[in-house]
Amino acid sequence: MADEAPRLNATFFAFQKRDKRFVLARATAGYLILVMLFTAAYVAATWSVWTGMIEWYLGVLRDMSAGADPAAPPLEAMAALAPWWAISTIVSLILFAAFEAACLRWLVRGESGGGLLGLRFGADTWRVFAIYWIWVGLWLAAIIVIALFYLLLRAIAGVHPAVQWIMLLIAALAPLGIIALAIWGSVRLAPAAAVTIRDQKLAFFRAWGETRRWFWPLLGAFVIVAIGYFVIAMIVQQVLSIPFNEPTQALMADMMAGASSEEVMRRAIETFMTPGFIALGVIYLLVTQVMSFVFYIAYFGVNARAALAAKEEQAPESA
Amino acid sequence: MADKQALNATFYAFRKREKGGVLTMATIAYIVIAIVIFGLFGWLNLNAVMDYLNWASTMGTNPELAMTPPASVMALGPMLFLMQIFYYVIAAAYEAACLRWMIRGETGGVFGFTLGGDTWRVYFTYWIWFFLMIAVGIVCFLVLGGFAGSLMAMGQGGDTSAMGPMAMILPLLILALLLALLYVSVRLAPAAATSVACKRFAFFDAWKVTRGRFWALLGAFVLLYLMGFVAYIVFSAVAGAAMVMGMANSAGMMNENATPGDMMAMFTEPQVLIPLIVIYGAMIIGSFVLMVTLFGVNARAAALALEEGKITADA
Repeated sequence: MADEAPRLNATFFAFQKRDKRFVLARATAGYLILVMLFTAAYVAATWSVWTGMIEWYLGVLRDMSAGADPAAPPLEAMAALAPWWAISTIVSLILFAAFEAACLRWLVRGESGGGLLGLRFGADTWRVFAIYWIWVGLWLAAIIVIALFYLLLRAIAGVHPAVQWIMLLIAALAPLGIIALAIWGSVRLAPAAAVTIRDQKLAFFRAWGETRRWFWPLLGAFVIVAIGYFVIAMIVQQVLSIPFNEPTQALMADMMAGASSEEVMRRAIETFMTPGFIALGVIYLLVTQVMSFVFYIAYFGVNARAALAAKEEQAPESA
Repeated sequence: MADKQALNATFYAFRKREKGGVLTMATIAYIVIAIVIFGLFGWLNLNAVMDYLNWASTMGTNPELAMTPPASVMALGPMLFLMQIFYYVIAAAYEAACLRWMIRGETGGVFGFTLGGDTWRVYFTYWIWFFLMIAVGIVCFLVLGGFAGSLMAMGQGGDTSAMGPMAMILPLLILALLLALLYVSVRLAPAAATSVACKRFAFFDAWKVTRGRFWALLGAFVLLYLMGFVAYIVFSAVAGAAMVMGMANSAGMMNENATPGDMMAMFTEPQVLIPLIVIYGAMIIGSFVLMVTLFGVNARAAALALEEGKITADA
């Protein structure tokens, strides 16, 4: 029997007390500032296209209220936005890589500061960015392999009727195996960015060997983080939706009683466009953002702990 | 590792301990708190409750109104959800109180109720069970959906030669899924007890706790559920008989013009209501006895695993 791995204790590793405080909070603030600046620049650069889109959307609402057929979407405007979407996806990934690199640098190497509130566009960021693309490549490869697998099954099933039912059974059970494999592979490779930051060189597949004994503790930590986030998010959402619920239900009742769409829209604007409801909306947005960043950081923490635990294990061997 | 001891878990909850009445007091406190929670919910949402009662009472006379409950009732959704969340925290505190006593011999708090680490560990265990159920649902959907898809593809192809073997495999597949579900449920049943024993969240360590004890645990659970089932049948039969006998005098009230109000009046006649309250009260007590007994089975498994060194407790 293989020797049992020591306890990982990775779930709340990100939130353990360290000698310096608010490093992760500062990195989060830096990331938010950059995201807001980029969003503003993106909207300013594409404003002329957006106005056309917004006009079309309002027109659809007007047409539907009046019972007329809605106008076709402005395909030219959408096509004009396509390159901007591609650019925004890449820039968003770079910004998130800078954020993850800043968090991991602190959690794994204990380094902080520099750049904008800890966010630097140095080698660490580009390595993490490269890791995102390796993930994209791996998923695309997995999709191609799955498609080939089903084509192969189909071809074998056509060879002889006797093997057809076996192939069909394999095809029916394969999704289960594929999901299990995807979970296994994803968990084994999850600390790739943390290992890369630790070793200060691109080391995507090194994570595979280092998580050999940690699969179940890592999976457990990810599950706990994900479920904890989901539960807290659900409770907060329900609490914040209480003031919205009764007016919404009253509007629904009006709709069911036969009120026109225009009338319902007018009442909805009257009800919800008040300082109280706008403030609640802003609070909701803030709280959900804070929760999602706590989730990201907890997730980085699990990976950071796995990378550190692997290093601790290797240390006596290399000594 | 110590020699494997007999589990003897079925009635572990009722073994004599140095202090008496701990589980009884915790149970009474739980019932009182549950009544207070439901009472408070009703009081805080009195208007919606009244709207609901008015709406429900008109269901028989005005079917058009019965389509959807009033907006105030529909708006209760988030409040109901939050009440459930709070209720399960109390249920977790109760289970933690029982397990702490049975495993570690510890009391404390208000009738054993605390909002300490054990309670939150048990509470989180409920959530893990909830998500495991969803995962099981997804697995069943994938397996049976994949199977149905294969059959459909076969039917569309016009070649039905493999239909026979596939149709034979389907019941076997369902049986295998059910058996796997039963196996995993029994292996993980002491998850909450394991967390209390380890003094840390240790849901999946229940797998170590039940290693080599699957059959003993399954036997205990089957025996207890069978006893509960038989008791439920007996109580239900007695309740039915009491209702019929109590209503015998009021049967004349039931005719084609009877309204929901007439029905309600018949159920609230003392000769119907009192026996029903007594019998359903006994059933509620019985269900608590069953629940504590089940806690006892899990507690015994976890305590034994602790003794045998299969799991270790944090300081």
